[in-house]
Amino acid sequence: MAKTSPMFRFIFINLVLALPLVPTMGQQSDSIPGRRAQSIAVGIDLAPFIIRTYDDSRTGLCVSGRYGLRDKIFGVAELGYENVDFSNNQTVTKNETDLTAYQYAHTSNGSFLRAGLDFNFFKPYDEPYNKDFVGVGFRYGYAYQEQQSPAFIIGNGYWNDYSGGGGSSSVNSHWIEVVFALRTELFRNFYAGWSMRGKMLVHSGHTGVMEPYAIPGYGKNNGNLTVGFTYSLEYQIPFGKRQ
Amino acid sequence: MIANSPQNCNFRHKFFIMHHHRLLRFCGIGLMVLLPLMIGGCNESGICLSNQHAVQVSLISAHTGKDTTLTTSVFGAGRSDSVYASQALSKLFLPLEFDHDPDTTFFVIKTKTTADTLAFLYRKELDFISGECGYVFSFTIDGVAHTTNKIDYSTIVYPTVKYGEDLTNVQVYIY
Repeated sequence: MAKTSPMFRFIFINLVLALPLVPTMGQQSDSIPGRRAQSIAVGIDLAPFIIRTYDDSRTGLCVSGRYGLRDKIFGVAELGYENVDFSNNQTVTKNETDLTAYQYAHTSNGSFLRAGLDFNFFKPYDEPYNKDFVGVGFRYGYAYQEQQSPAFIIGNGYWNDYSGGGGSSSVNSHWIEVVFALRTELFRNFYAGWSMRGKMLVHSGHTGVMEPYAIPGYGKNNGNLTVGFTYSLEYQIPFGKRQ
Repeated sequence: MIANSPQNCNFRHKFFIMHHHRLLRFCGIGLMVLLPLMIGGCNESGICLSNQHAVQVSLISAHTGKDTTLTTSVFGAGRSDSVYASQALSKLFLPLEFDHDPDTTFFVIKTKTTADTLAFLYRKELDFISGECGYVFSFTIDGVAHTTNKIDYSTIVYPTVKYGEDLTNVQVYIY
Protein backbone atom coordinates (compact mmCIF):
# COMPACT_ATOMS: atom_id res chain seq x y z
CA MET A 1 0.00 0.00 0.00
CA ALA A 2 1.42 3.33 -1.00
CA LYS A 3 2.53 5.53 1.86
CA THR A 4 0.47 8.66 2.32
CA SER A 5 2.33 11.84 1.47
CA PRO A 6 3.18 13.91 4.59
CA MET A 7 1.75 16.97 2.85
CA PHE A 8 -1.63 15.34 2.27
CA ARG A 9 -1.72 14.06 5.83
CA PHE A 10 -0.92 17.53 7.07
CA ILE A 11 -3.61 19.19 4.94
CA PHE A 12 -6.14 16.60 6.02
CA ILE A 13 -5.41 17.19 9.69
CA ASN A 14 -5.70 20.93 9.28
CA LEU A 15 -9.01 20.62 7.47
CA VAL A 16 -10.31 18.47 10.29
CA LEU A 17 -9.16 21.10 12.75
CA ALA A 18 -10.85 23.84 10.74
CA LEU A 19 -14.19 22.01 10.48
CA PRO A 20 -15.54 23.04 13.88
CA LEU A 21 -15.24 26.65 12.80
CA VAL A 22 -17.66 26.23 9.93
CA PRO A 23 -21.02 25.67 11.71
CA THR A 24 -20.78 28.88 13.71
CA MET A 25 -20.02 31.15 10.80
CA GLY A 26 -22.71 33.71 10.18
CA GLN A 27 -24.31 33.29 13.59
CA GLN A 28 -25.13 36.05 16.02
CA SER A 29 -23.99 36.44 19.59
CA ASP A 30 -26.07 35.35 22.58
CA SER A 31 -23.83 37.00 25.14
CA ILE A 32 -25.79 38.13 28.15
CA PRO A 33 -25.56 41.89 28.64
CA GLY A 34 -24.09 42.94 31.96
CA ARG A 35 -22.13 39.75 32.60
CA ARG A 36 -18.63 39.12 31.62
CA ALA A 37 -16.39 36.42 32.98
CA GLN A 38 -12.81 37.01 33.90
CA SER A 39 -11.20 33.66 34.02
CA ILE A 40 -8.36 31.25 33.94
CA ALA A 41 -8.04 29.08 30.88
CA VAL A 42 -6.16 25.83 30.43
CA GLY A 43 -5.33 24.37 27.08
CA ILE A 44 -3.39 21.95 24.99
CA ASP A 45 -1.32 22.62 21.91
CA LEU A 46 -2.05 20.31 19.00
CA ALA A 47 1.06 21.31 17.06
CA PRO A 48 3.30 18.56 18.55
CA PHE A 49 0.81 15.95 17.36
CA ILE A 50 0.74 17.51 13.91
CA ILE A 51 4.52 17.66 13.76
CA ARG A 52 4.62 13.99 14.69
CA THR A 53 2.74 13.08 11.49
CA TYR A 54 5.55 14.27 9.24
CA ASP A 55 8.56 14.09 11.57
CA ASP A 56 8.37 10.89 13.57
CA SER A 57 11.65 11.62 15.29
CA ARG A 58 9.96 14.19 17.53
CA THR A 59 7.36 13.46 20.19
CA GLY A 60 6.04 16.27 22.32
CA LEU A 61 3.31 17.62 24.50
CA CYS A 62 2.51 21.19 25.47
CA VAL A 63 -0.13 22.50 27.87
CA SER A 64 -0.89 26.11 28.56
CA GLY A 65 -2.49 28.34 31.14
CA ARG A 66 -3.90 31.80 30.57
CA TYR A 67 -4.95 34.33 33.14
CA GLY A 68 -6.87 37.51 32.37
CA LEU A 69 -4.96 40.31 34.05
CA ARG A 70 -7.08 43.01 32.44
CA ASP A 71 -9.82 43.00 29.86
CA LYS A 72 -7.33 42.94 27.04
CA ILE A 73 -4.16 41.69 28.73
CA PHE A 74 -3.46 38.07 29.52
CA GLY A 75 -0.63 36.38 31.34
CA VAL A 76 0.31 33.17 29.56
CA ALA A 77 2.44 30.20 30.58
CA GLU A 78 3.15 27.22 28.34
CA LEU A 79 4.78 24.09 29.69
CA GLY A 80 5.93 21.23 27.54
CA TYR A 81 8.09 18.21 26.92
CA GLU A 82 9.81 16.89 23.83
CA ASN A 83 11.63 13.69 23.02
CA VAL A 84 13.82 13.43 19.95
CA ASP A 85 14.96 10.07 18.66
CA PHE A 86 16.71 10.68 15.38
CA SER A 87 18.98 8.62 13.22
CA ASN A 88 20.42 9.31 9.83
CA ASN A 89 22.19 7.17 7.29
CA GLN A 90 23.05 9.36 4.39
CA THR A 91 25.56 8.93 1.62
CA VAL A 92 26.64 11.97 -0.32
CA THR A 93 28.02 11.30 -3.76
CA LYS A 94 30.09 13.87 -5.56
CA ASN A 95 31.46 11.48 -8.14
CA GLU A 96 32.27 7.80 -8.45
CA THR A 97 35.34 8.00 -6.27
CA ASP A 98 33.99 10.50 -3.77
CA LEU A 99 31.45 8.94 -1.45
CA THR A 100 30.95 10.38 1.99
CA ALA A 101 28.71 8.57 4.43
CA TYR A 102 27.01 10.20 7.37
CA GLN A 103 25.65 7.80 9.95
CA TYR A 104 24.43 9.42 13.06
CA ALA A 105 22.00 8.76 15.90
CA HIS A 106 20.78 11.31 18.38
CA THR A 107 18.43 11.15 21.35
CA SER A 108 17.21 13.98 23.51
CA ASN A 109 14.71 14.45 26.32
CA GLY A 110 13.83 17.88 27.54
CA SER A 111 11.25 20.20 29.00
CA PHE A 112 10.47 23.81 28.37
CA LEU A 113 8.59 26.76 29.78
CA ARG A 114 7.37 29.76 27.83
CA ALA A 115 5.89 32.67 29.71
CA GLY A 116 4.73 36.10 28.67
CA LEU A 117 1.81 38.37 27.93
CA ASP A 118 -0.84 38.56 25.24
CA PHE A 119 -2.55 41.78 24.21
CA ASN A 120 -5.96 41.60 22.59
CA PHE A 121 -6.55 44.25 19.93
CA PHE A 122 -9.89 42.84 18.87
CA LYS A 123 -12.76 45.31 19.41
CA PRO A 124 -16.09 43.85 18.39
CA TYR A 125 -18.11 47.08 18.57
CA ASP A 126 -21.34 45.32 17.74
CA GLU A 127 -20.73 42.58 20.32
CA PRO A 128 -19.40 44.11 23.53
CA TYR A 129 -19.18 40.79 25.35
CA ASN A 130 -17.34 38.94 22.67
CA LYS A 131 -14.30 37.16 24.15
CA ASP A 132 -12.51 36.31 20.94
CA PHE A 133 -8.90 37.25 20.57
CA VAL A 134 -6.88 38.83 17.80
CA GLY A 135 -3.67 40.16 19.11
CA VAL A 136 0.01 39.98 19.71
CA GLY A 137 2.18 38.86 22.55
CA PHE A 138 5.66 38.04 23.61
CA ARG A 139 7.23 35.11 25.38
CA TYR A 140 10.43 34.27 27.12
CA GLY A 141 11.33 30.63 26.61
CA TYR A 142 13.64 28.35 28.52
CA ALA A 143 14.42 24.71 27.81
CA TYR A 144 16.56 22.13 29.52
CA GLN A 145 17.40 18.91 27.74
CA GLU A 146 19.64 15.88 28.13
CA GLN A 147 21.01 14.56 24.87
CA GLN A 148 23.39 11.95 23.63
CA SER A 149 24.68 10.46 20.46
CA PRO A 150 24.93 6.73 21.16
CA ALA A 151 26.67 6.01 17.86
CA PHE A 152 28.06 7.89 14.94
CA ILE A 153 30.30 7.19 12.01
CA ILE A 154 32.30 9.79 10.17
CA GLY A 155 32.78 8.62 6.64
CA ASN A 156 36.07 9.31 4.93
CA GLY A 157 35.55 8.13 1.38
CA TYR A 158 39.12 6.92 0.95
CA TRP A 159 40.70 5.99 4.26
CA ASN A 160 39.04 4.16 7.13
CA ASP A 161 35.87 5.63 8.59
CA TYR A 162 35.81 6.73 12.20
CA SER A 163 33.33 5.19 14.63
CA GLY A 164 32.47 6.88 17.87
CA GLY A 165 29.85 7.35 20.49
CA GLY A 166 29.23 10.03 23.00
CA GLY A 167 27.95 10.18 26.54
CA SER A 168 25.10 12.37 27.54
CA SER A 169 25.35 16.12 27.78
CA SER A 170 22.96 18.79 28.94
CA VAL A 171 21.76 21.86 27.10
CA ASN A 172 20.23 25.03 28.50
CA SER A 173 18.52 27.25 25.94
CA HIS A 174 16.92 30.65 26.19
CA TRP A 175 14.92 32.40 23.53
CA ILE A 176 12.31 35.11 23.01
CA GLU A 177 9.21 35.02 20.87
CA VAL A 178 6.93 37.53 19.24
CA VAL A 179 3.46 36.06 18.86
CA PHE A 180 0.57 36.81 16.57
CA ALA A 181 -2.50 34.88 17.64
CA LEU A 182 -6.16 34.34 16.88
CA ARG A 183 -8.60 32.64 19.17
CA THR A 184 -12.34 32.16 19.03
CA GLU A 185 -14.96 30.60 21.25
CA LEU A 186 -16.36 27.50 19.57
CA PHE A 187 -18.65 26.42 22.40
CA ARG A 188 -19.35 28.09 25.69
CA ASN A 189 -15.95 28.46 27.36
CA PHE A 190 -14.22 26.26 24.78
CA TYR A 191 -11.78 28.05 22.55
CA ALA A 192 -9.75 27.15 19.48
CA GLY A 193 -7.00 29.22 18.06
CA TRP A 194 -3.69 29.32 16.34
CA SER A 195 -0.61 31.42 16.64
CA MET A 196 2.39 32.19 14.51
CA ARG A 197 5.62 32.98 16.32
CA GLY A 198 8.89 34.53 15.40
CA LYS A 199 11.57 33.07 17.66
CA MET A 200 15.06 34.27 18.35
CA LEU A 201 17.50 32.01 20.16
CA VAL A 202 19.37 34.15 22.66
CA HIS A 203 21.62 31.53 24.18
CA SER A 204 22.12 27.79 23.92
CA GLY A 205 24.81 26.45 26.16
CA HIS A 206 25.84 22.81 26.00
CA THR A 207 28.39 20.83 27.95
CA GLY A 208 29.57 18.63 25.07
CA VAL A 209 30.58 19.07 21.47
CA MET A 210 27.18 18.08 20.20
CA GLU A 211 24.60 20.76 19.52
CA PRO A 212 20.94 19.83 19.87
CA TYR A 213 19.07 18.65 16.81
CA ALA A 214 15.93 20.28 18.16
CA ILE A 215 15.32 22.43 21.22
CA PRO A 216 12.11 21.66 23.12
CA GLY A 217 9.65 24.50 22.66
CA TYR A 218 11.89 26.27 20.17
CA GLY A 219 12.00 23.83 17.28
CA LYS A 220 14.71 22.53 15.01
CA ASN A 221 18.03 24.06 15.76
CA ASN A 222 18.75 25.39 12.29
CA GLY A 223 19.76 28.85 13.34
CA ASN A 224 19.13 31.70 15.72
CA LEU A 225 15.87 32.65 14.05
CA THR A 226 12.94 30.41 13.35
CA VAL A 227 9.19 30.45 12.97
CA GLY A 228 6.84 28.37 15.06
CA PHE A 229 3.15 27.63 15.08
CA THR A 230 0.63 26.45 17.60
CA TYR A 231 -2.90 25.12 17.29
CA SER A 232 -4.54 25.34 20.66
CA LEU A 233 -7.72 24.08 22.26
CA GLU A 234 -8.59 25.77 25.55
CA TYR A 235 -11.18 25.56 28.27
CA GLN A 236 -11.89 28.77 30.13
CA ILE A 237 -12.76 28.38 33.79
CA PRO A 238 -15.07 31.23 34.85
CA PHE A 239 -14.15 32.36 38.33
CA GLY A 240 -15.53 35.84 38.58
CA LYS A 241 -18.24 38.10 37.30
CA ARG A 242 -18.19 41.70 36.46
CA GLN A 243 -21.28 43.82 36.18
CA MET B 1 -39.33 23.19 9.86
CA ILE B 2 -37.15 21.57 12.43
CA ALA B 3 -34.14 23.61 11.44
CA ASN B 4 -35.92 26.84 12.39
CA SER B 5 -37.89 25.62 15.40
CA PRO B 6 -37.57 27.52 18.72
CA GLN B 7 -36.25 24.37 20.41
CA ASN B 8 -33.51 24.07 17.88
CA CYS B 9 -32.62 27.73 18.27
CA ASN B 10 -32.48 27.35 22.05
CA PHE B 11 -30.23 24.37 21.68
CA ARG B 12 -27.93 26.26 19.44
CA HIS B 13 -27.97 29.29 21.72
CA LYS B 14 -27.21 27.13 24.68
CA PHE B 15 -24.28 25.23 23.26
CA PHE B 16 -22.76 27.62 20.79
CA ILE B 17 -21.44 31.05 21.26
CA MET B 18 -22.47 32.22 17.85
CA HIS B 19 -20.72 35.38 17.44
CA HIS B 20 -18.41 37.00 15.13
CA HIS B 21 -18.44 35.24 11.88
CA ARG B 22 -15.82 37.69 10.64
CA LEU B 23 -13.24 36.42 13.11
CA LEU B 24 -14.10 32.84 12.35
CA ARG B 25 -13.69 33.48 8.67
CA PHE B 26 -10.40 35.15 9.44
CA CYS B 27 -9.31 32.08 11.40
CA GLY B 28 -10.22 29.81 8.54
CA ILE B 29 -8.43 31.92 5.99
CA GLY B 30 -5.45 32.18 8.30
CA LEU B 31 -5.23 28.43 8.57
CA MET B 32 -5.18 28.09 4.83
CA VAL B 33 -2.54 30.79 4.50
CA LEU B 34 -0.38 29.17 7.15
CA LEU B 35 -0.53 25.73 5.60
CA PRO B 36 2.05 26.30 2.87
CA LEU B 37 4.33 28.07 5.32
CA MET B 38 4.13 25.23 7.79
CA ILE B 39 4.62 22.53 5.20
CA GLY B 40 7.52 24.39 3.66
CA GLY B 41 9.15 24.99 7.00
CA CYS B 42 8.65 21.49 8.20
CA ASN B 43 10.06 19.80 5.14
CA GLU B 44 13.42 21.42 5.57
CA SER B 45 16.17 18.87 5.49
CA GLY B 46 19.83 19.40 6.01
CA ILE B 47 22.17 18.89 3.10
CA CYS B 48 25.40 17.21 4.05
CA LEU B 49 28.47 18.09 2.02
CA SER B 50 30.90 15.60 0.59
CA ASN B 51 34.71 15.61 0.52
CA GLN B 52 35.05 17.76 3.63
CA HIS B 53 38.10 16.00 5.09
CA ALA B 54 40.45 16.76 2.23
CA VAL B 55 43.38 19.13 2.07
CA GLN B 56 43.16 21.38 -0.97
CA VAL B 57 46.50 21.53 -2.75
CA SER B 58 47.13 23.96 -5.58
CA LEU B 59 49.85 23.16 -8.06
CA ILE B 60 52.07 26.12 -8.92
CA SER B 61 54.81 26.33 -11.49
CA ALA B 62 58.17 26.91 -9.77
CA HIS B 63 59.30 28.70 -12.94
CA THR B 64 56.45 31.13 -13.47
CA GLY B 65 54.83 31.24 -10.04
CA LYS B 66 51.43 30.70 -11.68
CA ASP B 67 48.88 27.90 -11.49
CA THR B 68 49.87 24.92 -13.55
CA THR B 69 48.51 21.54 -14.53
CA LEU B 70 50.14 18.19 -13.94
CA THR B 71 49.10 14.84 -15.34
CA THR B 72 49.41 12.57 -12.36
CA SER B 73 48.15 9.64 -10.36
CA VAL B 74 47.84 10.02 -6.62
CA PHE B 75 47.81 7.16 -4.12
CA GLY B 76 47.54 7.01 -0.40
CA ALA B 77 50.70 5.44 1.05
CA GLY B 78 50.24 1.70 1.23
CA ARG B 79 47.12 1.79 -0.93
CA SER B 80 46.72 0.25 -4.34
CA ASP B 81 43.57 2.18 -5.20
CA SER B 82 44.14 5.75 -6.25
CA VAL B 83 42.73 9.08 -5.22
CA TYR B 84 43.34 10.25 -8.80
CA ALA B 85 44.23 8.06 -11.76
CA SER B 86 46.21 9.68 -14.60
CA GLN B 87 44.38 12.95 -14.59
CA ALA B 88 45.47 16.42 -15.61
CA LEU B 89 45.05 18.42 -12.43
CA SER B 90 45.74 21.89 -11.19
CA LYS B 91 44.21 21.29 -7.76
CA LEU B 92 44.27 18.16 -5.61
CA PHE B 93 41.79 17.22 -2.89
CA LEU B 94 43.66 14.82 -0.63
CA PRO B 95 41.62 13.13 2.12
CA LEU B 96 43.28 12.98 5.51
CA GLU B 97 43.31 9.86 7.64
CA PHE B 98 41.31 9.75 10.87
CA ASP B 99 43.08 7.05 12.83
CA HIS B 100 46.79 7.78 12.72
CA ASP B 101 48.63 8.78 15.86
CA PRO B 102 50.41 11.11 15.50
CA ASP B 103 48.17 12.45 12.75
CA THR B 104 50.10 12.16 9.56
CA THR B 105 48.90 11.14 6.13
CA PHE B 106 51.24 10.22 3.28
CA PHE B 107 50.48 10.38 -0.43
CA VAL B 108 52.47 9.30 -3.44
CA ILE B 109 52.23 11.60 -6.44
CA LYS B 110 53.26 9.83 -9.60
CA THR B 111 53.94 11.22 -13.02
CA LYS B 112 55.15 9.29 -16.09
CA THR B 113 58.77 9.83 -15.23
CA THR B 114 59.03 10.21 -11.49
CA ALA B 115 57.24 10.14 -8.14
CA ASP B 116 57.17 12.18 -4.97
CA THR B 117 55.93 11.49 -1.49
CA LEU B 118 53.89 14.25 0.12
CA ALA B 119 53.11 14.12 3.83
CA PHE B 120 50.79 16.23 5.96
CA LEU B 121 51.21 16.58 9.70
CA TYR B 122 48.09 17.83 11.42
CA ARG B 123 45.86 17.96 14.49
CA LYS B 124 42.22 16.97 14.35
CA GLU B 125 39.19 18.06 16.33
CA LEU B 126 35.73 16.61 16.51
CA ASP B 127 33.07 19.07 15.39
CA PHE B 128 29.32 18.82 15.33
CA ILE B 129 27.75 19.99 12.08
CA SER B 130 24.01 19.55 12.37
CA GLY B 131 21.29 17.21 13.44
CA GLU B 132 21.15 15.74 9.96
CA CYS B 133 24.86 15.35 9.30
CA GLY B 134 26.19 14.66 12.76
CA TYR B 135 29.92 14.91 13.36
CA VAL B 136 32.94 15.67 11.24
CA PHE B 137 36.59 16.25 11.92
CA SER B 138 38.22 19.60 11.43
CA PHE B 139 41.97 19.71 10.89
CA THR B 140 44.79 22.11 11.50
CA ILE B 141 47.80 21.48 9.29
CA ASP B 142 51.03 21.93 11.20
CA GLY B 143 53.50 20.87 8.55
CA VAL B 144 54.05 19.57 5.05
CA ALA B 145 56.99 17.38 4.06
CA HIS B 146 57.90 16.00 0.64
CA THR B 147 60.58 14.53 -1.54
CA THR B 148 62.01 16.77 -4.25
CA ASN B 149 61.91 14.84 -7.50
CA LYS B 150 59.17 16.85 -9.10
CA ILE B 151 58.24 19.10 -6.17
CA ASP B 152 60.44 22.13 -5.56
CA TYR B 153 58.89 23.39 -2.34
CA SER B 154 55.57 23.86 -0.55
CA THR B 155 53.87 26.43 1.63
CA ILE B 156 50.86 26.33 3.93
CA VAL B 157 48.61 29.22 2.95
CA TYR B 158 45.54 28.33 5.04
CA PRO B 159 46.12 25.71 7.74
CA THR B 160 42.48 24.96 8.62
CA VAL B 161 40.48 22.23 6.92
CA LYS B 162 36.96 22.86 8.03
CA TYR B 163 33.54 21.66 6.96
CA GLY B 164 31.87 24.00 4.50
CA GLU B 165 35.01 25.94 3.61
CA ASP B 166 36.44 25.83 0.11
CA LEU B 167 39.91 27.30 0.34
CA THR B 168 43.36 26.30 -0.82
CA ASN B 169 45.33 25.00 2.13
CA VAL B 170 48.70 24.22 0.60
CA GLN B 171 50.56 25.43 -2.47
CA VAL B 172 52.97 22.94 -4.02
CA TYR B 173 55.53 24.34 -6.44
CA ILE B 174 56.60 21.90 -9.13
CA TYR B 175 59.41 21.95 -11.64
